[in-house]
Order: sequence, then C-alpha cells, then structure tokens
Amino acid sequence: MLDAKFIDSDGRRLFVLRRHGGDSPRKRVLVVPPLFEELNRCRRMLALCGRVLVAAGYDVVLPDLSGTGDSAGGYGDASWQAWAADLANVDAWAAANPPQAPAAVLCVRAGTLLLPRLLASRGPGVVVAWQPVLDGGLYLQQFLRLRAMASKFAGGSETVKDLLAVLERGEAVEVAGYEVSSALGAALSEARVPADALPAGTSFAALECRSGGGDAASAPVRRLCDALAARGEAASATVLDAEQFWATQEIAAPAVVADATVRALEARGGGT
Amino acid sequence: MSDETVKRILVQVLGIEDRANALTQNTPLLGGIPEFDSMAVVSVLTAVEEEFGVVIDDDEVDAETFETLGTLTRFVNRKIQ
Repeated sequence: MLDAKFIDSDGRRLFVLRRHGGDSPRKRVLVVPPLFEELNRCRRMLALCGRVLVAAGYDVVLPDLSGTGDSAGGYGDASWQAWAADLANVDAWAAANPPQAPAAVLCVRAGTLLLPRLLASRGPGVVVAWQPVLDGGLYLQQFLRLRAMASKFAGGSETVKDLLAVLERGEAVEVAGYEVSSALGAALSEARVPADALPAGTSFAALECRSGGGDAASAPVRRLCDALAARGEAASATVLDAEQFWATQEIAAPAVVADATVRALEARGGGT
Repeated sequence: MSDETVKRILVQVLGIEDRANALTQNTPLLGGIPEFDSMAVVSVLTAVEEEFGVVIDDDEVDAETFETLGTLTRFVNRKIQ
C-alpha cells in the first residue's frame, strides 16, 4: 500500500511517501533522497525498490526534503539545516506512526551527505548507500559544470570558478532550472562524510553501479569502508552490473539494485 | 584500452547500446548524436574523471573536444599521460 501525506516539519510542509504491507510490526527503511535532477531520474528505481522492500517485510518512507519535489517551496528556499531537521522530523513521525523500532537508512547519492547529521540526531544503525557522494564540494562543482558547459557551447565563457565566486559573493546560481542559493552552495561545499562523522555502531553497505560490473568500488568509498572496518564496524562496498540510473538519459531502474539493497539490509539485520 | 573505455562511457551515458557497433573515431558527437547535450557532456566528463582518476578543468575542454569520438578519445589519452 502506498500513502502520500503532507506532514509538518518545523512549520514547513513536507511531502512524504510511505509504502507498507499493511500489517505491523514491520522493519522500516528511511530513504534520504538525492538532489536536483537526480531525484527525478531516481523515482522509478525508488518505486521499484520500494515494492521489493515491502515484499521483503519493510515499510519504506521517502520524504521530499523542503523545497524539493512536491514539498512546499523551491530549492532557493532550501537549507542544509532545514534538510537535516526534516529528516529527523520524518524519522520521528515514521517511528510513531505506528510505534516501531528505529529504521535502517537508504541514502541515495548526495543524500549521503546528510547522513552524519541524521545519525548524530538518532543514533547509529544500518545504512545502505547507493553510489554515495562523500564530497559535497566536488559534487557542487560537477553540478555547476552543467551550466558552465551549456554556456561554453552557446559561445559564452562562464567557468565553474566564476560560478563558485558568484555563490561566495552571496548570490544564487541557477543550474538546469534549479536555484542554488549561496547558503546551500556553502553547505554543499563543506559537506563531507569521513569515517569519524559516522557514530560507533554504524553498519555501512555501499552499492555502486557500473555497466559491465567490475570488482573495485570507487576509491573514496573504499577508503571510507576501510576506515570503518579498521575500527570494527561492518562496512562493505559492492559494485553491481547496472546502469547509473541517476544519470542516464533514459530512465532506468535495474532490478539488481533493488535485490542487492534487500540483501544488504537482511545481512545486517536491517530495520530491526 | 582507453579508447574502448571512452567508447564504453559514451555508450553508457547516452544509452545507445544498440548503436555502439556503428560508432567509429570519426562519428560526430556534439551536433551529431541527438542525445549528446550539455548534460551528456557533463556526465561523460564526470565518468572519465572517476574512471581514470583525473580532474578535468573546464578550461581544458571546448566544443572541439566533443566534435567526434576521435577528438574526445585523443583528449582523454592526453589527460591520462
């Protein structure tokens, strides 16, 4: 069953999708969504994975963070602080309706950058991350590059450095229809996910996608997992033979990602 | 080796597996393949960065870099040397 609700998060109106099997008690997953256009491109994958998770006994809660998706406001009003609070509020709402154990977390792409604050507010747990973004500064530059490239091919001369300077001056930059405020740019620039930002007791499973598969996960993800493992946490990085569904021109939803997500949760006793 | 990797990245980003075998070094990209817009350019650059562990400054690329598969491949080969 699929519920679509608006809930209140500190006065902000948030759109939340909840998939559940109807009977309780069940294990839970809280999804931390990706940003900008990637959220749109991930919808089908999230829907497929949601159905697979429900069939495996999980309730799945997917919020649209303030200013994104169907939640009130636009990206121009969004703030990192508000997003961190939104996640904590959605988690608390989901935990109370009906009363359940803490949820496992599924963070998608740049949603992973909010993980440290989420875990700081609600304690450690089981985390599955889809192609996690661990460096917000790099991610911001890749996003700004969309505008710099479009400008270049139209005969303009905006560079990523120029756009970063605009943000630093306190002005917003519009990229592919999304407004990045100066404050959001600053927050993204500083956002990182080092091992010491994740509390003791965090269990972390990264899933990366590469068409044709491959053995080695990306270097930053491997470094994070190695650092977590070195202090005794359960940490793994798996490369799946799947398209990079958050970026492909045609919307894709490789089933292998949903299956691997359930397996990763089950292996860690996720959501219980 | 890297030629094949560049081709693979291109095919994946654009979702053109059905046309992969028709691609040659002379195949025009920007303006040639309809799917090849600025979003695709960024996706290709990001994929090249992650695959080869290099950082590409936007000063280093221009429309000519993406004129054909050949110009793109030569750019990548120069970058990874």
